[in-house]
Amino acid sequence: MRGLELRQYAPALAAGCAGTALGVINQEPSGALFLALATTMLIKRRHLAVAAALLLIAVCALIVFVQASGSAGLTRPAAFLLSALAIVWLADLWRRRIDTDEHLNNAKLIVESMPGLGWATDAMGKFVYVNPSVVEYVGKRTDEFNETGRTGLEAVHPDDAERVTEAWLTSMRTGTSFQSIHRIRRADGEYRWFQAYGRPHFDAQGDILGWFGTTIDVDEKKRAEQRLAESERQLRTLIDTMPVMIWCGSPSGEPIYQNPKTLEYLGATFEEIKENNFGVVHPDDAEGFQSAWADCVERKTSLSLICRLRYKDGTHRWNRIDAAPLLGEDGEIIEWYGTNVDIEELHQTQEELRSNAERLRLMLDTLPAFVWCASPEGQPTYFNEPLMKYSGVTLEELRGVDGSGFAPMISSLVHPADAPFLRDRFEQSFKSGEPIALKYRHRLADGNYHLVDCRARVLRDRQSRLFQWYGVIVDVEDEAQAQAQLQKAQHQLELATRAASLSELSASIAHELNQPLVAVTTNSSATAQWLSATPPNIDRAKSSAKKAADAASDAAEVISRIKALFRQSGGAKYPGDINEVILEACTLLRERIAGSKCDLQTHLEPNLPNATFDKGLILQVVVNLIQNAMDAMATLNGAVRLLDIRSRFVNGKILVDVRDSGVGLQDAEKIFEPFYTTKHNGMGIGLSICRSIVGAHAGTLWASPSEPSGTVFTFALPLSGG
Amino acid sequence: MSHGDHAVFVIDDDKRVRDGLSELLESRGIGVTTFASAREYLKAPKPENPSCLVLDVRLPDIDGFELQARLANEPHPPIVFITGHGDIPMTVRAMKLGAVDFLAKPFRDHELLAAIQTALERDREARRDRSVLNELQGRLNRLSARERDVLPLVVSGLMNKQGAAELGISEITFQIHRGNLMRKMHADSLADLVRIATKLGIPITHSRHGN
Repeated sequence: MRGLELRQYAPALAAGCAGTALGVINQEPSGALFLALATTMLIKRRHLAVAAALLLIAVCALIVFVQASGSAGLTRPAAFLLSALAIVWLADLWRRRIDTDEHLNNAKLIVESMPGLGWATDAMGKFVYVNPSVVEYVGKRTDEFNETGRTGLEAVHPDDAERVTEAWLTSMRTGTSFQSIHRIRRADGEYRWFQAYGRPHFDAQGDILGWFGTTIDVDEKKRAEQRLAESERQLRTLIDTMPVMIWCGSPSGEPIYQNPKTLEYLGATFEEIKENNFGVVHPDDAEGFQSAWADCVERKTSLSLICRLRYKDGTHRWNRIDAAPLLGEDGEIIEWYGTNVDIEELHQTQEELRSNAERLRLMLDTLPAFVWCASPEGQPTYFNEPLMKYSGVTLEELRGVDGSGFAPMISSLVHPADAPFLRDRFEQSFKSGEPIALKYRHRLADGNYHLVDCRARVLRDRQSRLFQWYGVIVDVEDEAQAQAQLQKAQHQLELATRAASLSELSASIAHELNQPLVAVTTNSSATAQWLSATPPNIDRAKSSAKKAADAASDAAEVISRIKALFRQSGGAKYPGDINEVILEACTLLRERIAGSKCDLQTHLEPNLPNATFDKGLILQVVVNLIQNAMDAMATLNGAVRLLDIRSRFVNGKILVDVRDSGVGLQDAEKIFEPFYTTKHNGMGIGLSICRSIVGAHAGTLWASPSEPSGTVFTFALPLSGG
Repeated sequence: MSHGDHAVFVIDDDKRVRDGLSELLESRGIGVTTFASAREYLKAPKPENPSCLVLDVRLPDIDGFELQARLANEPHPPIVFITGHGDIPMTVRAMKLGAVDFLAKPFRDHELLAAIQTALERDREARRDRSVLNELQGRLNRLSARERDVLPLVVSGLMNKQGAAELGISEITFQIHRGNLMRKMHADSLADLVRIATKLGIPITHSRHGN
């Protein structure tokens, strides 16, 4: 720069030196012309001080060298002195000039080495200077900026242009600093965010001369801000649109924010809630809530409670309220964040469950039955209260007893004599999952034993694995004793029963006799009529008489059969095997069975205990039932005629089933009425007599439908001594 | 009495009883047809003679009472019940439903014969009534439509003038219809016509003295 400076001044200096030389050396007046030229050039370049200094030097030199010869005295020294002063002045000017240059250079360096974009404009906003960063960034020079006529807006993002212009105009108008954040296009066309700051400078009159400014790249920051704002916006949208009630509170617990869902739910405005935060809480819950909240605020701990909040329709609904404080580094609460969740349905369900469970427990504990549950292995899992009291044990004590599966239950609660039997049955059932139904002597809290009826079933899960055993135990001790009493009474009643059956028997006998008697009387009368006719019809009379005789012998047969029946039953009962009676009946009826085309099947349980019965009577019953069964199937065409006789031992009784595959009965009780028959020739003793006979043995006879068709007649006889 | 002019049906599931009854009735010259069940009886053709049904109460499938109930809504032979085991309620029930008699087995032969005679007589009357009614119905059917309009007016006792006004026809025309009507219905007098109309169930719809 200095070189440039020298070159600028060189013509002036050359002209000045030439002038001076001419004037001094040649004493040519024309040298003044060169001096004047040099001066003019300097003046033109506004270097008045330099020009004045040089002119003074030249004039003084002229005076010294030109006038020296001519004059003496004071003039020369004065001129010399002035010349010297002028040189000194010039030198000073020169030095100052160099200083200024240096400052300028430094300033320029500073400006140019600044990280941002440096610029200066004139009063109109035209760029007068841009630092190399600008040139480099925008790819244009100052003059190019101004050429566009848009005062530098050309590189600004179109969306920001108006804002920038506005800021600029404001700055121009008010003289305040210009500030703007906007995007500027880079040479490659990409926009980046910049923050521009320009300060106006003024002249003495206060008019703006121009602006100096810097524009700093704030792209990263701006974008980060934008991202932040975006994420904040998203978060807010999220919070505002989420179907969850969200709220914020101040460190002291005052509400700060409630999301729209919350306000909508409560049917209140934020102001209302702010005014009375606890107004929406159910009056019964408000106090607890308030104290819990205050406690949490004080201890800076999370809040979690359920309470009823007033719903917009005025009802109160259960809500779970959770809140957590956000703590600063100093451990102070910055803000509370909370959510409300409507758990009305859940709460109701829970309440219902609780009340159901309570009801169930109450029910189980008040039931006049003892209820227990056990795992599939037989380990007891539940005893109801009455059972524990009754047995004098607790579940825990039972579990503490040695032994696996149901062993503890049996060893603690069952009479030793019944234990093996019970163990077998339980083992069998727990393996197979078959229901349990049995009676045993149960140990009571006082050490006595009572007969109980124990029934249990297993619940299976979806894979039909055994899941849990549920059982009830009913004390049947009283019942058993009553049963014994009853049996005694029944024994006494037996005689009376016999008497009753006698009347039925006589009615049945009367019926059996009446039929042949009608035939006897009608045929006899006819015989008489045929004989008294003219002429007598002997043939018809004979025929009628024969019919009468046949009918009379039928009647006689009925009587002899009844006699035989009573002869066989001497009234004495002896213990015997019912299977023998069944086999005997089958033998007696073998030919009839074969003739009836029935398929006889017998399923007789071996080793049946003995029953006490009158063999003759019971044989009659079996024979009658078999005949009935065959008759029931007599009209079957083509269908299977299955005659199935079984004996079995069930619940202390001997049961005999006689099953047919006929069309079945319409009324299973009516058939036992004395004069009811479904048969065409109802001979033999009726079902009513069968029932009387079985009844006289303290047994029962009944009929029930058989599957898939037909009827099964069953009679049950008690055991000997039972 | 010959076999041709009446019929006795016997339903009893006991063959000995059936045979005995046949024998008894045939010896008295009464025609008998026997059935072992009500179903058989229902299937059998019935002659158009006075007849009677001797019915056992206790029968397989359809019993005596049930058969009685089934027959109740149609013309049927009067029923004489016989039973081996009768009681008062059963008797009352059977008699209420129109049974002629209810005899307990064993019964005396003359009791049964008397009941059968009563039953046959009752049926004979019923049949006679039915045939008279049929005859009258036939006469009624032969009337012209206008004569059938005139009939109720005449039996209501309306005078010719009133009847003619009622039908909107001249008195002469009404008189002609009335004459034809009397002739076709074989009525000798107004009283006779009224009696016939009553048997036929023709209602008296008008009054001589105005409605």
